[in-house]
Amino acid sequence: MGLNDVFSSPYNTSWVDSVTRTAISHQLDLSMSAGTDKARIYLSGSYTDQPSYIINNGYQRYTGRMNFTYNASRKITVGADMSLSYSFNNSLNAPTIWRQAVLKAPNLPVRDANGNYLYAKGTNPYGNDDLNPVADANLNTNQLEMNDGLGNIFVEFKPVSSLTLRSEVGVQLSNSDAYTRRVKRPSGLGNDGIQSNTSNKKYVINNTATFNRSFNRHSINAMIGQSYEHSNENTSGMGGYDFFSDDIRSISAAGRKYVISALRQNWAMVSYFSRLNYEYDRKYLFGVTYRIDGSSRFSQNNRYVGFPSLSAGWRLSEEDFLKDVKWISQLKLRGSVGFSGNNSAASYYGSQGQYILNSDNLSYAGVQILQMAQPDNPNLKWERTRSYDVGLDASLFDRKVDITLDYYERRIKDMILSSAIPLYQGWISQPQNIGDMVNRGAELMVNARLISHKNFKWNTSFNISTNTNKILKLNFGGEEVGLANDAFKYMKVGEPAGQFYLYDWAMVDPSTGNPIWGDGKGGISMVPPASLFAVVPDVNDFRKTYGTALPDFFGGIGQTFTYKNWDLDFFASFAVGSHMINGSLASLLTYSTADANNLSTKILDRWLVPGHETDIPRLVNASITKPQGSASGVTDYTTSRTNSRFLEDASYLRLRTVSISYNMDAQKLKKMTSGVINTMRVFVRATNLLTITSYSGLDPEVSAFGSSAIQSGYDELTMPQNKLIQVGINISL
Amino acid sequence: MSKRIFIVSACLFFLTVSCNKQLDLAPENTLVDKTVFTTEAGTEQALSEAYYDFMKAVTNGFTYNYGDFTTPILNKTLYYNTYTNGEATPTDYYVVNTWTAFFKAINNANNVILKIPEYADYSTEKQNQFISEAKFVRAFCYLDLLCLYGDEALSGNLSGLGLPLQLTPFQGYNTGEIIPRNTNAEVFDQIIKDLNEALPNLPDQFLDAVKTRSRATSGAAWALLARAYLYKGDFGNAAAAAAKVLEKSPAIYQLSANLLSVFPPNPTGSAQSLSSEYVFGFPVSQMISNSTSTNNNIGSTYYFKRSYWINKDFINEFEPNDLRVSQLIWKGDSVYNPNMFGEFTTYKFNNPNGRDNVPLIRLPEVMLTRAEALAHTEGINDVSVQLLNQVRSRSIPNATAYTTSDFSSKDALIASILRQRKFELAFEGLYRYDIIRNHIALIVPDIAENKKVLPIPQSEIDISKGLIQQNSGYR
Repeated sequence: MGLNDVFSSPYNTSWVDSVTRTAISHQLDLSMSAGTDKARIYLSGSYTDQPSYIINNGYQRYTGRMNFTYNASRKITVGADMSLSYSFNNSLNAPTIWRQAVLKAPNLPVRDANGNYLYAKGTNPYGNDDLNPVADANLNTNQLEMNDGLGNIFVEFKPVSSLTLRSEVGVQLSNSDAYTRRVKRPSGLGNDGIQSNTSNKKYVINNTATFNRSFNRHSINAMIGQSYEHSNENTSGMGGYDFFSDDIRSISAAGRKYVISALRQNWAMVSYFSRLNYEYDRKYLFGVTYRIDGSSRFSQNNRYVGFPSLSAGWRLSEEDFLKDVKWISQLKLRGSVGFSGNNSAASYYGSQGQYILNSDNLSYAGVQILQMAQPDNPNLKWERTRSYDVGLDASLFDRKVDITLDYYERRIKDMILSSAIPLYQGWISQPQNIGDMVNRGAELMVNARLISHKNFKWNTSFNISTNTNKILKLNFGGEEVGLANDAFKYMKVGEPAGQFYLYDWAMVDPSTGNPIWGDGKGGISMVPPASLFAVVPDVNDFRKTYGTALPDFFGGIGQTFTYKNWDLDFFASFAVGSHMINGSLASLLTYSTADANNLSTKILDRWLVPGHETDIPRLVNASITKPQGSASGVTDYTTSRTNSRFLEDASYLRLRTVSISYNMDAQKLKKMTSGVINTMRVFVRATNLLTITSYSGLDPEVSAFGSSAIQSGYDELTMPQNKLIQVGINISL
Repeated sequence: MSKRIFIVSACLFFLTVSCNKQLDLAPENTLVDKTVFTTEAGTEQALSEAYYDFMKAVTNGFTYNYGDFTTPILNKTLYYNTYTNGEATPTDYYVVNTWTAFFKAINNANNVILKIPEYADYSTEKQNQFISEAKFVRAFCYLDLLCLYGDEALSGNLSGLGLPLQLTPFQGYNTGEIIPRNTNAEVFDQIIKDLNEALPNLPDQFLDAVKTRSRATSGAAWALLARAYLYKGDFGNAAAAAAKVLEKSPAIYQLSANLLSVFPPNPTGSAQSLSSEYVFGFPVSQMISNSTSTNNNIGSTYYFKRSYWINKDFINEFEPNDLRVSQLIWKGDSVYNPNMFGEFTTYKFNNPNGRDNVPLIRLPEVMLTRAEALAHTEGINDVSVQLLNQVRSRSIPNATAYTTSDFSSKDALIASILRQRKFELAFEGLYRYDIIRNHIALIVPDIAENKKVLPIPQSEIDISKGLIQQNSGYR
């Protein structure tokens, strides 16, 4: 961009204000239960309306549920459960609209002089020529409708009192209908639509035999069972271009139409499982489980896999030496060891190469192109996890205080992660067993009923957890290279997974306004270390680790007060020691591209004169270099996410919910409604009212790329969580 | 009633106990190796992807044009300086993308070569043909890679670092299993070996005219072999291989009397045939899929003159009345890019949406290759002069034909042949390599030999812990 380009400012549009609103959400819940000795029935329904804070976007959901049981005889019970739900989500465009609104140049109007949406860059010499988030929010559609039906019938037969045989058949029917439509833009882009329908039919057959018997001091609870699950998925999708009018919604009316997919696929899974629990004298507990799963997704050789688990417990409070201690109501020590497995590459025919016809039906010289969709991966093994857990359950002071303490260790062997492979081998990445890792952690939960008077009750709960992880073995020997999302994360044996691995941004030189970089070895440099790739053997030597995105510890605090018919609830959560790259700020301090996007007001504090101490370097500085092979002809090292400039502490304390509710007096209510309504509760609930954090972005909890250790810790103009105030009513008949 | 329920319950219990069979489900939309490579049709479709990936590597908006915008025949915007100065970064988008795209095509070719013997259940003749076609694609990809990335490969340094010779399909990566870069000589040898092995099983032509000019034929393999020998500096073999192609003229290949039938006007982007001059090319104009039309990523760049346009000095170099100026050089866009209305561009790719076919080997190249190679081995000779005249007089019908006495020395003849090559093959992605192998100045005249290639992508060096070495000009 030239230094002397003029951006005149006849307008001052707040694009964020133009696409956001204060939305009002509603919730209504209804339930009813009734029964006799022989039969019981339960009915419930609910309605939720949650408009997004982005205009013209929102979410609605209706659900209904029925449970029914009937005792055919003393030995036989039959029953059925059924639930139906419908949801409508048209807020799928919201994250994009939010991002575009934040970045859109404020000196452009929403509409031009004729009242039409202005997409172009106006008189600005640079900028996106084809963007208007307000128009996108109002005119474009991206919606998903889903219907779900779940039905279950069961028969339970008790030939003798200690044995229960149960057979269950369940059916799940899901339909989803996705529809996207973009109106025609002045540039000619847009004017297209895509519609896809998916229906999924799933049935499950479950058979179990449970044995329950106590004699003398022995108590046995055993179960064997088997299940078979079969799923059928049916997808069809179509797209269209060149609609003759924006009001035409149907793809069939498009000028050009094409089929995206038309596919039916199945999978099935069969499982056998068993459990044996034994208790002696209510003091000593032992348990064994074993299950075998078989899946159609694997070839016959790898189809079945079985995993055992063992557990033991000791109820100390039943021992003579503690029985008379009044303040201990219950005390139990327990421990377990379990094994499990995971094969995340479990697509059809797991490890075999797969081919699909070019989805666009493209031919080369008259021969259809059959694309290799997935290469062979014969070396891939099951990822296995071995877990230990020891815990303590205590109930003290006449069961007023409950304490649960747990310590666990999970060792993952042959962890499967998508991992870079040499490009000359023809692919970019593939799931690989890249190493071993251990997670260790502790969890403490305390629940106390501090006051329990008739008219006033006070409950308090507190939980805190900590988790550390360490890489034990790594096939790459050093940092994970290659993959875009992982590129800035560091993996090394003996260290936690997914540490930020960044160039050291030291400060802005007050005398010249140029950035000063640490060289990773205690020295400083005015040259961006990342630019030295051609000069030094390994440019990564300049990088340092900066901790992970995951917190050192986290937890929650809840308080509940009940006064007569009123309930007051607070719940706060906290996390300490997490880190986040504030890419939102980096985007809003990027002026070196031809996008000419909006900038943060922090840019006003840029270095101006020698002696000026600031965090923002001078506009033209030694770390924005030219020419390098980037699209704009400029490489901007100052806003790269590979440096520590935008890394922030993301610890927080957040008042998650506050709610106040009023329960109508049951007696009065029955009288007023002639017995139709049993209970009725009216509530107001506020979510995310207050957040205390030193993080300078909008929300310390966002994650732009995903929540795993490797993906988390990036805020890239990610939509923040909203403050929500809900008014609702629960009615039970 | 209770009895009946018990019976139903017990039945359900046993119904599903043994259901290994029910887990044998086959998907509808994907095929596995066995189903693909057992049949002739499936193999041909898999082979089709190798061609298509090769095409995408060449027409990725960089590879094809790189052969011209780095030479003095084009003026260009500053953005392209990084490539002409030998300053492209090892993480540059096109450096990485081009490398990856060619190796993707090589992997597909390798897959066809390996899986046919394993699964094929159709005539051996067809099997051998498909394997040979895949070897042709692999050889072509390696030659293009050598031009782009081989350290001084065309400058005559045969012991310089070439490419990792990956000759088996990807079947899972075992950490540390890295093939270091073979030398330029070894890569040349593999290209020549692949083509020699392919030749006996390749057809002279297909029943379908489009396939004859866009799939591997014996003519195309000989022509590619001629180019490989020429680039390697083995002139004797280059001349002999080129002769094999010329034997098939006029039966299969003919110089077209009308230049506009080779590069037809194509304002609407309709399907064009591949002229009989095409020894090998991509039938882009005929490739239309359900939702989009394939774009050669060459046409729009030339048409709008936004990135590069013809250097007027180059136009002035042509002899008077050359049809290659009057018919194949024009102004392109006259609506959208007013700053450039006065500039010229090539008509060879005249469709603004990139819907023209893309020639990779045309008959005139083979003729001039033979002419040049013979001049090297035999000095001034009749055959070379005759071939030179044929190419020249097609575009300058009234020109007085050259005779051997017009050339004072062998070098003068070679210079004249190279000049004709420059006029004839301009904008077809080849001029850069003629310049490098003959030590003529590129657009940046004093650039070091080891800067005349692209850097190896950084990720290859990182993942191999340095076993794959960077090119010497970028260390």
